[in-house]
Amino acid sequence: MNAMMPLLFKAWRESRGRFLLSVTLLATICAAGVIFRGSLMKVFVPNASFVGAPYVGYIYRLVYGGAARGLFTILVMVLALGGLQRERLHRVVGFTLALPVSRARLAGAQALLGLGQVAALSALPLIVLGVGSRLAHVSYPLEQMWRFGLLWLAGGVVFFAVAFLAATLFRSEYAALAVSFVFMIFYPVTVMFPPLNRYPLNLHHIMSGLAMPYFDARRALLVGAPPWMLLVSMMAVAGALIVLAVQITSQRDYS
Amino acid sequence: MLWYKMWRESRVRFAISAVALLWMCGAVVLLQQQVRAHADEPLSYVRYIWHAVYKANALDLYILLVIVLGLGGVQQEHAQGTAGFTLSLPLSRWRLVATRAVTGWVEVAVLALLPALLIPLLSPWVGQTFPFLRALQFSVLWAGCGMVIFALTFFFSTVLAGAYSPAIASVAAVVGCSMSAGLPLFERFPALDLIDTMHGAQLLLSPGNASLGAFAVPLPWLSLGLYALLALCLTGVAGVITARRDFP
Amino acid sequence: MTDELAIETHGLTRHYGKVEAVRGLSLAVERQCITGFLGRNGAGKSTTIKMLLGMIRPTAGTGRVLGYNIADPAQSLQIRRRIAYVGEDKGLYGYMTVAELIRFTRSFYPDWQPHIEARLLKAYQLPPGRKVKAISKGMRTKLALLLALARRPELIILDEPSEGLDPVSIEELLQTLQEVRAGGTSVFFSSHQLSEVERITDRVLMIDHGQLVMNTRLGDLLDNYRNIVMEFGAQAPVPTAFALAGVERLRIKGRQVWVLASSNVEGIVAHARTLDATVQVTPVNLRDVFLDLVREAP
Repeated sequence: MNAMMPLLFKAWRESRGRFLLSVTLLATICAAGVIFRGSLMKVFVPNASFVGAPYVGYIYRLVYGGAARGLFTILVMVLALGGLQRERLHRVVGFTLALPVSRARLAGAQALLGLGQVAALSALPLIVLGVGSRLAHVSYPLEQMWRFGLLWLAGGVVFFAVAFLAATLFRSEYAALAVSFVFMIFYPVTVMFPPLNRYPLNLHHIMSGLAMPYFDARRALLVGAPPWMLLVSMMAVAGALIVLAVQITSQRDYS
Repeated sequence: MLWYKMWRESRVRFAISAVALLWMCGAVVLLQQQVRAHADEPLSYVRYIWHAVYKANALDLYILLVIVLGLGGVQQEHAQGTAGFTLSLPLSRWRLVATRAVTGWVEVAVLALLPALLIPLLSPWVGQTFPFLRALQFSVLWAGCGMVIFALTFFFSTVLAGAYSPAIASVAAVVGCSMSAGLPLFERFPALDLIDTMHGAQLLLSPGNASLGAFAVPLPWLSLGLYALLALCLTGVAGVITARRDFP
Repeated sequence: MTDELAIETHGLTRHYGKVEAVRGLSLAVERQCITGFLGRNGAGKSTTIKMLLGMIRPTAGTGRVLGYNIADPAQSLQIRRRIAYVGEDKGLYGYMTVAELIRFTRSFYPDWQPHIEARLLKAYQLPPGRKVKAISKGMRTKLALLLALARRPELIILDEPSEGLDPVSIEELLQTLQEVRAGGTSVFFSSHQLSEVERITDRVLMIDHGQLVMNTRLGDLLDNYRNIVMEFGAQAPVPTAFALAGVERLRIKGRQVWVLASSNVEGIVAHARTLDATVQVTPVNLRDVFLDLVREAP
């Protein structure tokens, strides 16, 4: 019998509050950005900061390269928290571990659902901005939204994997959150210095396109072919971190 | 012993936060030459520290860590099954709330003080100086504004179920606050711009000498007073909710 | 090792830092029996059960449950497919409703018995639509029992199953355990309620300071164990030791000596009389034996 469905259901029930709150917040920023664009554009793109349509530059500054992207990063990290360490704290780990499923499958189901949620959050601006812009009679290129969504997904998956690993390593649910936040701030600073600065390793930049060859900063548009190798590499790193977390979960004692 | 309980509950988070902040500030000072050499325009050491610590990464880190420190409380204890013991102690719920809030504020203030202790001390090692009093002024800003961010998370931890939802709500509130500060409606009230207050750009213009007046005058006391009041109000509301809530 | 046994351990040991929670525990639990697992708080009962279930790894020693090696993750999975477990915390997912949790658990077990589920749901008066976090501790215990009993497991492991239950529910639980044993299921349960254990168990295992101090059939215990009280006169010297076969425990207070004997009662009595002691032999119950064995164990 396929035990994955009930495990996915369990993972969904554990994270749905966080996920729905995340969806609401991200959607609110995007929707508010469209609705209050008159006032906000003066703040975010003063005096023709970008060449081309001001709305494109504005959406970049607000969503894809701005506050919404920062929020997205934090949200995917929070979505990764939980798991057996937290269940131990809540004294339900005994019930979970007595189920006839391997720990790898337990952790795998949590990771799988989480990655699905990251994908949904990555695609959310596309839906909200797409519909919102059409209703407001302004336009933002659909192709750009797809491409930014892809970058968010790849970057988001790495941040998710880091927080997932932290949640596996730390007993305290808040310590895992603190470590995830520390990583989020430290990592881009670390890759600023040689020899790391020779490589495109800054996840925040990869997601926003900032200082990347595939981004035209003057027009705030992604250009050329998507950086497939980079995206695949990021997915591989995320996969390796998740596999490591699953391995640790399989080996650990939960008393 | 109630203080001890609150300290034990938050000490791992606090330790991680302190180490991370010290590490970040230390790295900023020790790597100053490399970063300043690659800057777009010439940058004085004091301005560099402001950009790297008080306006950018270290500040972001501080805000996020203060949010993490604000999580927890009786609602979370209820989820873990220990609220029964805590609530059976011969203490009012108000005292529980107040002790946790004060413990958190002290931790927030200590975190805010860390850059002021480290940066002036470490700067001579790289042949630079950063006035201690100026660093202390920034610490006052961080502590004052950190207090309201802590209180916000504290409040959300009381009203929202789930261990992490309060963190999401707090981050959203800070982002919302930062975004809305630029709106025309709020432009007339710069005192309400929390993040800008934390940046403390005006402090760079003030003399960094040792007199008390020079220390106190440039600080935005109106903003800090408002934030302290807001923090107290949020904590008070959290206290009222905790005092009236059933924990079945 | 043999598949005839439900549980078998050899030298099972678990350290937590410097603390030895379980020390070289070797035990055997027969199939189709109800076995009571007794011990004081912190004696190592729950640690042993968690090792049997693969939740924690033994520091040393080996163990088998239904013939499967507890240290092998793949075999541990087979153990969990074939057993049912109710933990001491009765920790269940508070965010699910009773009905959701039953549905969730049911999906893992092809041998789930809907008629037992329905019967227990009615008997325990569990509210299907209510969230688990909103039901009482007793109800949560009943729900945990329902999830364990609504199948046909080969072995049921229960850690303090009656904790939090009212007397009527305890009675029902004891009856249910006897019924499942009659249906061919082995039952291994830890409890501090000695009267309950005495009522339904076939075999008793007693553990103290992480070590097995008794492993016997309950009937043998009641038939063979005796309390022997010796009163020594003013002139007779009081012995400090009783190195005779069958002496399990010895306590000396003033001129009185208590001996808990598992066999050789006649020999011990005869020896005491040669020392000029007045001897009184009384039958024992499980409580007496438990107190004697764990109170003065090293």
